[in-house]
Amino acid sequence: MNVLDIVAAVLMLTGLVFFSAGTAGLLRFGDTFGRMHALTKADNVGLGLLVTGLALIDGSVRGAVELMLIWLLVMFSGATACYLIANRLTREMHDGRD
Amino acid sequence: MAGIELGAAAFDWLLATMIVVLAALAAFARVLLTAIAGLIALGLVLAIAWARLGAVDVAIAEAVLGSGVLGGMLLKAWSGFAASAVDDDASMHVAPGALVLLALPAVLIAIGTVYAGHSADALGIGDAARAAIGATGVSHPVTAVLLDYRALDTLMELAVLLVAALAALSIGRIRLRARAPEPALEALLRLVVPLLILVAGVLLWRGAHAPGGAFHAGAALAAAAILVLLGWQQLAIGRALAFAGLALGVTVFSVLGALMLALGGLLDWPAEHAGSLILVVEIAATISIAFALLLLFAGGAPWPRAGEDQR
Repeated sequence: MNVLDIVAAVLMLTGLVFFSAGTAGLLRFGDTFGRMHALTKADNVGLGLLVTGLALIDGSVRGAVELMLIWLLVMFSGATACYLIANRLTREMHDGRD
Repeated sequence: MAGIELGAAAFDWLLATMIVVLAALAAFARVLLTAIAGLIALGLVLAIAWARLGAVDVAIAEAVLGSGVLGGMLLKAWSGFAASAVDDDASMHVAPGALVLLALPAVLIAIGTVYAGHSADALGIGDAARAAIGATGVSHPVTAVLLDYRALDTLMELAVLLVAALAALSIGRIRLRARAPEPALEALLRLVVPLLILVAGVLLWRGAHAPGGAFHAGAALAAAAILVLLGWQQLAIGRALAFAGLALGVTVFSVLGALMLALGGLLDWPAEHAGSLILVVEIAATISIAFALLLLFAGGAPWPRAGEDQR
């Protein structure tokens, strides 16, 4: 258990805290917009911390690059999905008001 | 280290519990969308479980096919279903007799215990299979089994997929109105679709020496095509191309396998050319699997049937 392992463990545990916060927001927030906000923000940061910890444990450059790519793809697709859901909801709300 | 073993055991128990809970959710949820979401999540947790058991090929297939393509199909069906349904939250009514399904795991465990003695290693052929892998042309044992030792099984699987796709084509008929996707979605698709095609190529090539292969590559390719279908609402595939693509895998596989009759036996690849033959077969199979999954997802033929008006 060297310093690198301890740093990686701390990073991953912090990532888990963020994931828990995101899930708590998903369960506790009132409307869909708030839930999506909590989910995308907290989960993306949590995944970033998790990925950084895993990259430290893996040790290779290739592994770190692959993990970073995964994190970027998850963020990109998560943000787009969140936008699409919010857009659809907004349109439905406006259609309901007309 | 005992701590790591304890942690791994705890993780495995957590996985097993999650699988049971998600399966119950998928089977018995009142709201249909909840059941579908449970099934998608179940597919991903199952993929992790397969990886924990060391079956990485199955894990990839479960994640892409069981969770990705199947989840997409179910959501597409649900959206069409919910749009025409009278009430807003389509709910499922499960007959009490369906609870007998809960006995299924016990039955499976019993069967598994009985047949554990019939595994390849227990029968003594595991070592022989691993020793002879040099003559198969590939170094990954799963690919060697799928495309050399049990090539006939894989050929039959491809034929089954072909029949399923043909059935969907003959029953369904879809009308697509092309429209431009929203800018955010278009930006994502322009990044992800080429990346998926690249991933498909990597999976196909890696199949020889690492987890991968025709089914995984075909599913990734189908996912790229499905994304294009969902984003631009276009399926630029005519009847000729669709049938050619669907039939390519089974045709190439069976023709090459039959040609082997002259050299030794049906589907018996000669050792010095086995690698190249398997690669050719896998490329053809990838294309066919991609076409089949795409057309199964689309749900029907995008071209007008004979006798119908061309619209």
